[in-house]
Amino acid sequence: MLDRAETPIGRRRQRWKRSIYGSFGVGIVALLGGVGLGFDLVGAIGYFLGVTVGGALCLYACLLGSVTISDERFADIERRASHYTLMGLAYTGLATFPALFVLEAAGEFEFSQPLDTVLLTFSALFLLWGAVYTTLRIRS
Amino acid sequence: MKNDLRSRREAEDLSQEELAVAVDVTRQTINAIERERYDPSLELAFDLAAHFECSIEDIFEPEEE
Repeated sequence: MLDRAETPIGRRRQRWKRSIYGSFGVGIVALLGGVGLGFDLVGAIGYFLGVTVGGALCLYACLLGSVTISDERFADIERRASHYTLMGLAYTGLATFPALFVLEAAGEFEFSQPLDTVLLTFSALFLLWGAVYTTLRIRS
Repeated sequence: MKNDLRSRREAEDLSQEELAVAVDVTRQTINAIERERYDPSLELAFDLAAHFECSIEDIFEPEEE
């Protein structure tokens, strides 16, 4: 019995995955290379093309392709990864920002522009999460 | 959850890939279920039971707490 990607379908799945990951990889390398070498526009175009092609391949494979490249277990892993990431960010934010607010009120600390941006990004992320959560809860 | 998916699959001389194709999941998911590292959804459990022409309880057994 063959229990690795040695069957035709296994090989097709591997080719799909390599094409998708490869496209994203080329886009990222193009961006980093372009920025690093001073060709920002070329890098950005390479990134756009890589991500667009990768995204299109991913959509095609998931919606129309005959090979299953993702299933309920991967969806479950993604849900758990999102949960742990959000919880980590939430606890980090809750442990950090209130303390900084107190320190700022006491005149011991001043929010810098980058930290303000981080705080706004945090707030926007959790506002968006709350909106999505509320929508899903109402619909379920 | 305990299960005897591997023995049932091997009794039918199926590879993980072949079973995965039959129930429309990836080989890794079949492997994870066999190693009892992933509990399938009810829908997939029904598909597996239908494939082996048995009931879900014949394949899966809840872990005793």
